[in-house]
Amino acid sequence: MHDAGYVPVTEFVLHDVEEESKVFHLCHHSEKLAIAFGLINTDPGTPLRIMKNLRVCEDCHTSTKFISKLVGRTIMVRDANRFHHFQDGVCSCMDYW
Amino acid sequence: MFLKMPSRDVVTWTAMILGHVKCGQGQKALDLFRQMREQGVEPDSVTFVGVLNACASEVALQDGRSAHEQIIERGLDSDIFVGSSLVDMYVKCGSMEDAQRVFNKIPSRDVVTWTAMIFGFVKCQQGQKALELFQQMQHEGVQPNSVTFVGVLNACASVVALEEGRCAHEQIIQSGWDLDVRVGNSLVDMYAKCGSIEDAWRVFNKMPSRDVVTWTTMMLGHLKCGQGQEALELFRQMQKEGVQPNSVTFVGVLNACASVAALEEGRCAHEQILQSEWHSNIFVGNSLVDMYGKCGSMEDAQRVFNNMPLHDVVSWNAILGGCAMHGHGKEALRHFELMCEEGVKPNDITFVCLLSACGHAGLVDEGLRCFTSMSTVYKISAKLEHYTCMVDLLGRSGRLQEAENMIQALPFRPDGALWMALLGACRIHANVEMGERIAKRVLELEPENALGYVLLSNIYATAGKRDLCKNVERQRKERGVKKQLGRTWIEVNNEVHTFVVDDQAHPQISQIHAQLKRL
Repeated sequence: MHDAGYVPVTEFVLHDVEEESKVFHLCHHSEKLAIAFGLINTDPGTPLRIMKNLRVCEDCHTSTKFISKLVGRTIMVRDANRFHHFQDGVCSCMDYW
Repeated sequence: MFLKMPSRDVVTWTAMILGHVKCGQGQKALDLFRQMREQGVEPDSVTFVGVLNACASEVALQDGRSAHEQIIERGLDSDIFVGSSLVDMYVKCGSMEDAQRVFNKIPSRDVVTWTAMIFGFVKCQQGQKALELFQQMQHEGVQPNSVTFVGVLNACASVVALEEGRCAHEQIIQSGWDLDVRVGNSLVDMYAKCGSIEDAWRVFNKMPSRDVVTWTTMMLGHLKCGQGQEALELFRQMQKEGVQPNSVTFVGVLNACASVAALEEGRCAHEQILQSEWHSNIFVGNSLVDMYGKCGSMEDAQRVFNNMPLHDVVSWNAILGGCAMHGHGKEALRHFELMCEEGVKPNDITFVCLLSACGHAGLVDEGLRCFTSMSTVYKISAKLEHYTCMVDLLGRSGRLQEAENMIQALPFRPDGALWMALLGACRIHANVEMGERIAKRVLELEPENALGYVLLSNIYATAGKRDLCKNVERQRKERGVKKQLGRTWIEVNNEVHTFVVDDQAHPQISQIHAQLKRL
């Protein structure tokens, strides 16, 4: 993902910690865990459907776009506001959410 | 035989009238009564009981009133059977004032009449009055029966009166009615609606027999508490026990699927529905459209919608709501036109969906047009929800000042959610000055809601003001306001898995982290 140009959005991690551990925190967001779980447990190409109780954060939104392109999957996320259809590196909300 | 009789007296006419009432042919009974009067036959109290029952079943208030006048003219209103039938007629026709007036004049009232009155108040959403009547009934020494208890429990549920419900429960146990399945169902319903799901389970588990209503009531109870997974689990168990779902069960299951975005489970329920007698039921159809939209498949939602034999305003709202959630603004506007062409009148919810669809798609001018036409063309006055959509629509697109002006010109007091929508927009556009001002309002109105603090600290974070950001966080912690934990659900192989932030509990957690590292 980093090779593809992904830069973690760390400014919203509010803990007073070093940059490296902020990235670590971001990696633990529940939607990232769920996406990784879905990738492991479904056949390649299967769309992933995910629901989140809060609004999806900037970093998860950005990284999900990258993941959808890297693994060639459609990832559908329903957050507290609306649906996001991630496909081939683009989200249906056109980053307006 | 009746037609061939040379002379028909009041007894034969009355027998015919009662016969029709018994067969559920209320209108025919009323026609007969008219013929009887035309032929100059004088009705007696039994005739009137039959006529009143017919009026009750046909919800014919006018006929009922005219019968009441004739009863008074003949002085038959002191007859207990006539009095009870009058009460029943007024109750079923929804005129509780008339019912109460007659009820007060009946010299000796039996449990059936009291119960009819209790049900009448419940039906008219006057649960408190029903409970008062129940008190009064017991003062007068009338023993309640199982139907009375069902009415009382419904009243408790409707006004969320847990204490009164518990008292009634004790009485029910003492009188042995707790073994009655209808009373048991009402107890489950009462506890669930009063928010005590544990008590509902206790009753559920003790019931000697459970029918489809019992299971469905329990399911709806969990749904109301936001526990969609539990509701789905109950549905599975119910089917294991061989209980056939009805239309209400299906609506409940579909709502549960929608609440946890369980598309595969929703599809299974859909297949079952197609094989059942409920496949063209409009309530079930509306829930299917809603479920598919909320589970992310607008194609299926549209297909179900197109196949429905009839659309009401709820069907249209379901499809419009789906468009809104998916950010399909143009589609929503097109659907709205079709809706008006079909002659279905939009309601306030229609406009909430429409405005939110415009908001998610960034269609600002279209949204403004809809908002204006709502009051001018469709004569629907804007409520808080509509203003919240408009503030979101304007704010998101960067027209923050217009949004604030709209709130200030509001014809009623703005609530926290409305200011929150504007605060959210300030965050998107990193407007520190307005953000601070709006956050003050939000934190005044909703000091317990973590979202206000989070949005303000995010605004500071975007502006690079780390110190102010930390201040807000400190303030939140000092006030003991906890942030809502991030939670994500994913459906894999028909099973829904839940993850929280920093989840360590999942059995596959090390593989998940390895996968994230690879990415």
